[in-house]
Amino acid sequence: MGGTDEDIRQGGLPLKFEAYFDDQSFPVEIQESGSRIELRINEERYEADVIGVSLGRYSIVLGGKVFDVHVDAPRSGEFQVSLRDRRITLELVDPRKLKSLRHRHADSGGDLSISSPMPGKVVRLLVAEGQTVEPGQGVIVVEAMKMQNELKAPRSGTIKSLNAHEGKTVNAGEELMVIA
Amino acid sequence: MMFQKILIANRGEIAVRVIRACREMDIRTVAVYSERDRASLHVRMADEAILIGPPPASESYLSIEKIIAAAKETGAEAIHPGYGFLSENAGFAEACERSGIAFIGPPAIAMHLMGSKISARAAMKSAGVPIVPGTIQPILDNREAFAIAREIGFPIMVKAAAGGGGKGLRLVNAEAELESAIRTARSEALNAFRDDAIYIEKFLDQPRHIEIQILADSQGHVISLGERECSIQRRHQKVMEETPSTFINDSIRGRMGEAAVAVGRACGYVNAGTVEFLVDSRKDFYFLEMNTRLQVEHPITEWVTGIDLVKEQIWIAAGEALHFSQEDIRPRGAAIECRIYAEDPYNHFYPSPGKLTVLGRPAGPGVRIDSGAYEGWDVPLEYDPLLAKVAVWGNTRGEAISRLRRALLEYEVVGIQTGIPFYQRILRHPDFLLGNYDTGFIDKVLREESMGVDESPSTPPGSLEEGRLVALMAAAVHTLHNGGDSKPVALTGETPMSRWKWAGRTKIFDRGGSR
Repeated sequence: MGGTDEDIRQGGLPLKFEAYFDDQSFPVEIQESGSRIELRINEERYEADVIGVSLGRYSIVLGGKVFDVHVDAPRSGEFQVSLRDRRITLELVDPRKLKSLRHRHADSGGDLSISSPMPGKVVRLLVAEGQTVEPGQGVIVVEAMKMQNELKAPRSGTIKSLNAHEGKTVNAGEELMVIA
Repeated sequence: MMFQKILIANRGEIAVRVIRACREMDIRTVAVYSERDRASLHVRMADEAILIGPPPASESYLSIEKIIAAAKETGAEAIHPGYGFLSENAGFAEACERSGIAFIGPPAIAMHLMGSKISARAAMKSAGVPIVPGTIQPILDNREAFAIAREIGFPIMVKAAAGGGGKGLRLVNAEAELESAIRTARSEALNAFRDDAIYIEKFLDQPRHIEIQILADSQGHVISLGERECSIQRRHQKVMEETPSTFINDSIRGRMGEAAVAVGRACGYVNAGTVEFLVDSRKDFYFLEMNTRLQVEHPITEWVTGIDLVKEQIWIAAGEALHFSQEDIRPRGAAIECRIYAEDPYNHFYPSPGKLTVLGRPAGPGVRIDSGAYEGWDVPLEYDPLLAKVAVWGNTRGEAISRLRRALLEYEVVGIQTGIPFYQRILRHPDFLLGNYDTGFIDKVLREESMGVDESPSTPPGSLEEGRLVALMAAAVHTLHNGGDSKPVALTGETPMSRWKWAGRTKIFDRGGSR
């Protein structure tokens, strides 16, 4: 694929992805021409009219049905798409360049990183660097909006590095420590 | 004499609610705010505002001294405490009185009486109000505890007299567990409340939680404004409320209203208050506690009665008599409220503070929004996660339910997560539709939902279900227009494909007591 994003936007070359859902994956070709989007999945063709209405929010007309959806992209290539009462998580991966996040994860092995599941403030650090921990042992307490959340070690190991201190404000997904 | 200026000792949606009432009454308003809340809506909406300290509530919204000083500085003649913070602090009411400022709430003595569960139980028993069977004196020794427990029959609850937020609370199923339950409840109560007094109550299995709104003026009139069904709770926190309750008939409703009025009279109550009852499966009701303030869920009572409770509170505090009698209260139709918290129902209901990049609110017939949020606002992580309340009215319960579903569908919140998708599930749940639920309902829904994670509706392997196709379209377009949209995030050991995780939140959370 020699085209740039600009070519694609003007209805040039199709973009190819591998799409991963929880329990399914598909090769996908996508072509955009104005608000018309054409998807090819295996031998099937799907067409829809997609317009952006605000940041991350799209109005989609597919086969005469209207969908109002919101897209979050918490990590590169990973998408959380909110429909009315449902949220669908998927990954789009360039088959030539990238391995799926889940495969990258599988490869990372060894060290285990503990990250904050929510934005908040570190209120208590329960371990020190070099300390050994047991599975289920509380290692750190993060607080937000009057709720305290004690994170636990998912397996045994040694605290290899510590990136948090009491009183530190952390983002969702921010690494707090690594267990080796 | 009606007040010219009122200070609101609160923040968020309830401060906004009180400002609205004051504005309609031509009363000037004074907001107080912490350093973190300069940009909050209550400050923007008030006529005057006073900075009262750094972000922690203990140094700002809970500082009696600073709030009284702010009232004196601005010449406010009265203080509305909202709910939470200092609203049920008798010391604050006394401090207002000493400073010659009217406290828009009950007299301190009523707050004292209701503040201790044991003294409240004793007072209610002597007033002839049914209480959950058990003791009305603190338990002094274990022998006494055993005798009482045998008399009322297991299972029982051991409770801290000063209790709240689930602390100092033990369920005891059999005699063998009693001694250790008393020991741990006492030590927990001592740590949490510096008071190890405990008492024993019969355990009611999955009761209904139904409360009665009352209004009382300083001339001795006390009336009831009907019930609110508050059994839909998560971790002892109310999340949805409705009126009327589907569980009680007019005869029980009438008796509960009379009991609530008796409670108000027994404690010398003045202003708006709420009497909470537990109702068991035989529809016997028992006094649980009295909330000596405005409740979060007051809008549903306002919907069906047409009475503005905040204005009534202000009139009562200014010494006026109630503008209506018990016979004038004729609730009409049905109302439901749900509380929009900044939380992620897809991820263990974790708090979700942050920037509210897009906010589109529902409108149209029968919809009321009480909110402290606005588009572009950064939702602070220091305070309560309640962003807004959606309260709807319908001619019938069915219409109210359809209307709430419709309103939630119109709600657009981008940038942070809210519980809205979870409410949509509840509003379709057969047991909710039948009105067939108790305080164990949410746990039950969560158990069911955790099995029904985001599986694709049964489609042949290799084909794509409609919802997923739509998601794929949206994600693809999003990628094209945001150049890959990559803020790289450190990889973690978690599986990246997060599933629906709104059950199974195994870690310890405590948001404090229910309101």
